[in-house]
Amino acid sequence: MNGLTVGVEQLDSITADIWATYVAAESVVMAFGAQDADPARTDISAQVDIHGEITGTVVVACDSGSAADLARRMFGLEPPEEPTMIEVADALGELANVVGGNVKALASHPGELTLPLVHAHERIVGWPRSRPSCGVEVVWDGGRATLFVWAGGDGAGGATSKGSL
Amino acid sequence: MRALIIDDSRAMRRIIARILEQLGFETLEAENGRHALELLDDVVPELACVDWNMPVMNGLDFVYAVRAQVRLRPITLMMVTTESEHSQIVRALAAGAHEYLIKPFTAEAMREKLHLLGLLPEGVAL
Repeated sequence: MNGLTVGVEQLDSITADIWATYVAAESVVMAFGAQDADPARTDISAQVDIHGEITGTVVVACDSGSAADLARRMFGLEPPEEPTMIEVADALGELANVVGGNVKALASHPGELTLPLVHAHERIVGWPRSRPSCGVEVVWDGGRATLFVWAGGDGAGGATSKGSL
Repeated sequence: MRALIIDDSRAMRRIIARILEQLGFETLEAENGRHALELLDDVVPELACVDWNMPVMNGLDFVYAVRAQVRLRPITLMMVTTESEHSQIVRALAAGAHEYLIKPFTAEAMREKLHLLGLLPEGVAL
């Protein structure tokens, strides 16, 4: 099996494109240090695994306020309507799905994407492989999120949790 | 005109629905291929926007199922998915999908695809 190889510039470009299309016309994307990948720094994350001839994991993580803003925008909710927890998980999961699919497209070998899995972080024990191969942070007028890519392994590079949403 | 939107993400179904409704479509939603086939027992839309990676029944299997029924052959099938591997695109088109739109897509990109398919409602400019 081949590990997924993604550069931070590629993740930056993918993130900028997806955020501009589905979240906010203006956002800023910057490199985020792999050493800072810590689920304790955020409230909720969504992951997709890539498996097959290439393997890897993609995670989108953010605080609960930012996650709610993502859901508000993707569902087209107007104040005072607020997204439900299910809608927040759905929106974050779909963003992870789209990021994951575009990351997978960079690989030179075919692979398959799992369905998104969303975790509330108070239930996370930790990410088994704590050093992702690259990460970016995206900031928009409604919040911020971090995106990480783990390469290689058995594809199950995401969170170990007591349960998921 | 009516469009059936098939995606396991409700957020994505809403995004696609907003675009299509602004173009004048009536929209129906299904969360997987099996659910979509059940809806097609009662209504045959002009367009189906089909995600690939879904639980219960994925988009490719849905395309095969639709193409196997003469009654459903008038439906234009457009894959709307993150799957961009060339071999997979060929597979979907060979199965009977008419068009392919890769996520993320803008409203303009979807409008252009519908124009190519001859499905832009009357009075809607490209």
